[in-house]
Amino acid sequence: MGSYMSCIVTWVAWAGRAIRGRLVQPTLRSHVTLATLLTLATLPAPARINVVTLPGRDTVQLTIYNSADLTLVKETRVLTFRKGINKLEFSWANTLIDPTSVEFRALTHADEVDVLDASFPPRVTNTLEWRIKSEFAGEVKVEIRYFTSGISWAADYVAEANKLEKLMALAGSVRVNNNSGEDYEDAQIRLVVGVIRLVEEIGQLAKASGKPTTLFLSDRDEDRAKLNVRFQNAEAFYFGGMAGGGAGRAPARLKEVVKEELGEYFIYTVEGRDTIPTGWGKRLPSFVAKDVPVTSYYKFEKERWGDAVMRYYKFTNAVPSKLGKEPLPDGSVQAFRTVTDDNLYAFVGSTAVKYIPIGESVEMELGADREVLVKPSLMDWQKTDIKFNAAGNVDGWTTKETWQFGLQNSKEIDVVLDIRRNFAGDWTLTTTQANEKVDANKVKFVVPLKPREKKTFTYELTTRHGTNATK
Amino acid sequence: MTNDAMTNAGDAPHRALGIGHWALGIALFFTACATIKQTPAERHAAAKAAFDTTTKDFHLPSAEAGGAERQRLLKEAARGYEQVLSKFKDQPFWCAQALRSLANVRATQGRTSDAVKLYSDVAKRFPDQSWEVLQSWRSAGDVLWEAGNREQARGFYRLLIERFDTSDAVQVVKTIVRGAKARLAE
Repeated sequence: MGSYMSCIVTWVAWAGRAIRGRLVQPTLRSHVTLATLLTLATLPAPARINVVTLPGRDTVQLTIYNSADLTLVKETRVLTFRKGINKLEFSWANTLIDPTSVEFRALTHADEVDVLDASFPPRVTNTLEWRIKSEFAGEVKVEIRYFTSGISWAADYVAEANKLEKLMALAGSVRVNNNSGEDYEDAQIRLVVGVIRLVEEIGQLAKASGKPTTLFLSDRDEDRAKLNVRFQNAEAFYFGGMAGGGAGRAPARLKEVVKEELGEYFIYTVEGRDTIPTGWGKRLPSFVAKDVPVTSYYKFEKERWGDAVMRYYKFTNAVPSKLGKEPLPDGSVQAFRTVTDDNLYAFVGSTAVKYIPIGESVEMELGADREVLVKPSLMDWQKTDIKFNAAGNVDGWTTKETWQFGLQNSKEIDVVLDIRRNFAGDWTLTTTQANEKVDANKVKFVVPLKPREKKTFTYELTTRHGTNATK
Repeated sequence: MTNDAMTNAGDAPHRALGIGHWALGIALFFTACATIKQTPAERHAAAKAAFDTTTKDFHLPSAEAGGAERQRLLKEAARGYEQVLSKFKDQPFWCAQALRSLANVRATQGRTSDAVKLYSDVAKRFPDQSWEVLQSWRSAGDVLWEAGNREQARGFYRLLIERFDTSDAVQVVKTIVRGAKARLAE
């Protein structure tokens, strides 16, 4: 060591119990600590004799890729460097941090700070020690980046339809779950939405590595290299210049999720900062869109749902529908409807929706509704036009079925019923009720019903069998 | 007397009893196997839990302890890593980490020769666990270097450079390789 006194900076990413004694902040179960320790150059081995500073994380940014169980963590800290050799420790013990992805760089005085070496001190496990040469004495802002597994997010929505079920308010939220083994305090959270080729490839590599939890802890050099290079490229292309750009704190109002369109996918940035300890989940409000046009209708199809009538809401993710600013990630939906003038809500149902691109419509199946009834009854059945072959056996016949549908709307609002019937063989339908052929074997009847209205309609189905069939 | 009596009673019952014991043993063995049979994901999780417990409960606290308590924790940590190595031979990912960690314990205990051998064994037993191999070779070199055995240390640094000095290596690997090269140049 060239100088009389050198400086060791210890930065420890740590989960589980606090083993660094006084270095660990007692209010947090697990966290990253940073300390500057002094050592005398004359000692045969570095000896920790004093804690000089304990700077916290300056900023933390999490970019969560759900589809690959991967989160990019970017931290900035202000370290006090001494001129000469400084040492920095990074430990990933008991976390899902991928140590091979760890990167260090100085954001200030970059031309005066040089990482000379990295080694693994044996006194502790899963710890990396950087030797950093600094030509500058004083505060240096540094960035440390790495990938971790175990952090995921999911979207959920609340739809509140008005009394007539013509308009609705749609509120979106995201729930972030942290099982990474590491606490993240005051973190800026960015969520990657949509399917991108980059992540698909990484997902495939992750599967190929056979690791159920940690993506980057791949056995194969080429996999590891590909993963890191791709993410470095992606980071440079997609996330360049984002460090330190987090919005300020805004705890008293709804946080805005800023969306950026980046080719085939979106990044949602949750406004402000949030602390997500390991083992915890946090729900973050995302957006609220009011007066979204919604179509409410009811479906009946015996073969799919038996006697139940299913309720649907349909809306379009488009600007005319007060949406369409970004694709909506897949998630769960809870639907409510205003039932009284003083805004008393009734639960309508819940469902899951797939990823909704801009401009696409989505049908939300909200479960059975007992206030709308459909009762099909077979009123008559005949077998006619029986044909015999030369041996005297029946080889052709025709059946005629007469069906009556009793429809009932017990609601105080108009409803639209979509009734599907499935037929087989050579069939002909006769009815005065308007209908539409959906395909070769399916017919759709769309019937509007007024509040409290009961209605019936009938049809006659003729089916030709055996030699009577002409198609 | 009892044995004599049984022997005198004839060979056939004795053989029958022996066969019965064997059959029972085999049945118990297969029953036990069926009971403890785990999916690959469960095996991975069990190995991870064993490794993490050893790290969290013994190895990490040993860094802060002193005197007899430190020695006790290191001993327990070594025992824990040895159990991972013996019980989870089908989990190279965790075994490689356990073997390197065991080497770290030995190095901390001052058993340099044992530590170097264990570091060296990581590459021999788990050559596909590149990250563990990299760390082990680097640590072996460093331990030997600090012990004054520079020529042997250089051997590990050379191994490290030969395998990991590639243009597409990630930043941390490049840094480690740079450090190894610097040592060779000293």
